[in-house]
Amino acid sequence: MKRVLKNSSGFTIMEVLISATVFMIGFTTLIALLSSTLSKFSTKELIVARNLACEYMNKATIESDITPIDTVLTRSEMSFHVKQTINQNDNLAKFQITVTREKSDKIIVDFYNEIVLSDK
Amino acid sequence: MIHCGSIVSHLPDKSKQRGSILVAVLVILMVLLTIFLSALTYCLSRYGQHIKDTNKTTASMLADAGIQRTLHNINNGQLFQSASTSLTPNNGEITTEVTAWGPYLLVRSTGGYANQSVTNTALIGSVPPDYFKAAITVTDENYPLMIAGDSRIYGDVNTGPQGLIPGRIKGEGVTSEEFHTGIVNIHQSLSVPHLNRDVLNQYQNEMNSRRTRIECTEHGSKVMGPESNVIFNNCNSIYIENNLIIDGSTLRQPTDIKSIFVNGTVEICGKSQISGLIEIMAEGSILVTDSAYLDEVILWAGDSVVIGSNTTFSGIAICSTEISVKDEATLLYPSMLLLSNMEVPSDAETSISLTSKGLLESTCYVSRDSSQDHSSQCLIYLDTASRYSGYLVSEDKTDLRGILLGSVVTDQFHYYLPPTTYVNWIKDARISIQGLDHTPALPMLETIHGNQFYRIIREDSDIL
Repeated sequence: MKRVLKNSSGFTIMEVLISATVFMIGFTTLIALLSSTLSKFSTKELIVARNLACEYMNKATIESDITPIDTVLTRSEMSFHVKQTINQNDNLAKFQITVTREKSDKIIVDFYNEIVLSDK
Repeated sequence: MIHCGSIVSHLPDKSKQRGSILVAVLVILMVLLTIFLSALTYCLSRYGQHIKDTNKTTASMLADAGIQRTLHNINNGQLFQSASTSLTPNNGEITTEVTAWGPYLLVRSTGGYANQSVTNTALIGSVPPDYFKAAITVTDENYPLMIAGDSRIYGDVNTGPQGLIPGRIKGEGVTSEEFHTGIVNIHQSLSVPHLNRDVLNQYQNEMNSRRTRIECTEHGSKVMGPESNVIFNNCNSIYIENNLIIDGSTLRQPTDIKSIFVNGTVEICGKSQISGLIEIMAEGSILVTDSAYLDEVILWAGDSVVIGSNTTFSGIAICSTEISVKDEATLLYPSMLLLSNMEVPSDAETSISLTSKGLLESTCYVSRDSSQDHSSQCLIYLDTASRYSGYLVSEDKTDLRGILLGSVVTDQFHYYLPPTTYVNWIKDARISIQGLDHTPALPMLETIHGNQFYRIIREDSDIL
């Protein structure tokens, strides 16, 4: 220790580069941890889940397909739990579609819509 | 010039070399940090954008849900609903508002979800009643429907008790024995729903209310050119003391109503493009000309509305005396021409005149005040060389000489060959209900007949 304090010649480039690398790895891990905390889902997961929900919502609103759904689907190597609940009052059908990760209660997409069903 | 690098390489003192290494390392560190932070910012902003997009899609669906819910209420008899806000099961918010837009209802619905807000609007009109499946429905009970000349009718015909008869004008009968293909349904008393006056009156009341809240006044006449839209952008309700010329302007108003009140006449020309919830009300006439393009707009004229000279119109024209579509003007779905005989002398002659050779895809409606006697003449006139696709509805008379792909519902047909007026005659007209390839947009009809209403989907939805 006494030798180090007496050494006034500074650090070598190797010492500095190694310490910088260690610092960067630590900093990167910290930021990655922070961003994953901020964003519960990956961008890819979010896009795929949204497309999936839109697909079912279009079936409901455009094709008037009012079947309740509770299923697990795999898209882009990811598994999602898709749930469509329907509450029909008179000829007004109310839809709610939620997409979560399989075996998770974290809701990725939560869509709601209503549609007037034709009498014909 | 002396370079730093050359100085460093020539320094003999070892202790000073260490300082230069520190500088180099710091520079490398800065570069690495910059690259790293840029990548991180990019990833986070992409993620944020996707979250924003998803929330916006959710809000858009909520706005759509509001329109559907309002339509459901309208079909259950609640035509005019006050503005309301409600929460949804996914923690969103829907705000809806119903106003009259000419003879239609206009629903504005705003969906709110996680700081994103989307407003959708929709026009609501009547689902065509069954008699629009026939080529002709004529309600007059006193005269038979007479067919003469080179007339051809493809489709069913609904008539009063006198039925349908081939006739002769100046000794000439129908030129083809197969002048009619279809069934003739004879009714002792034929009752068809009329225009819902409550909706039109409501629109007038709302328009008058906007008129009392003028935000900008232009003294004298005003020319709105390509660069002079400041007044339009800054004011929701504009009053022009004299005449208005809109020349080469592009005016667009997607969700909020903008009103232009003109004390004189209006001319829209110079390839002007006007679209959205804009109402132009003139005490005098309104002339649309010179390749102008109008979509969704309401033109309300005290005198006349003339649509001509290569213009394209898919809005609503309302007038009490004359609407004329001429030259090479084009009418596009869901255009609507409404002649409403309010405040017109009972013996006046008023008309919707269709003489353009361009594409005419529209709904024409002549609404006759029930207090008017039959000395008045409110008619729809389709010229010999014109081809019209859609519905023609006249609570009074129709003079049909051109080609109609669609259905005509009228109280009486009318054919004039000087010096004789032929009551309930058709001559040289072609009518085919099979040729209609779309469902024309009908206005709000009386609800006493249990009419159903629907959302009129526009091709460029949903700017509306």
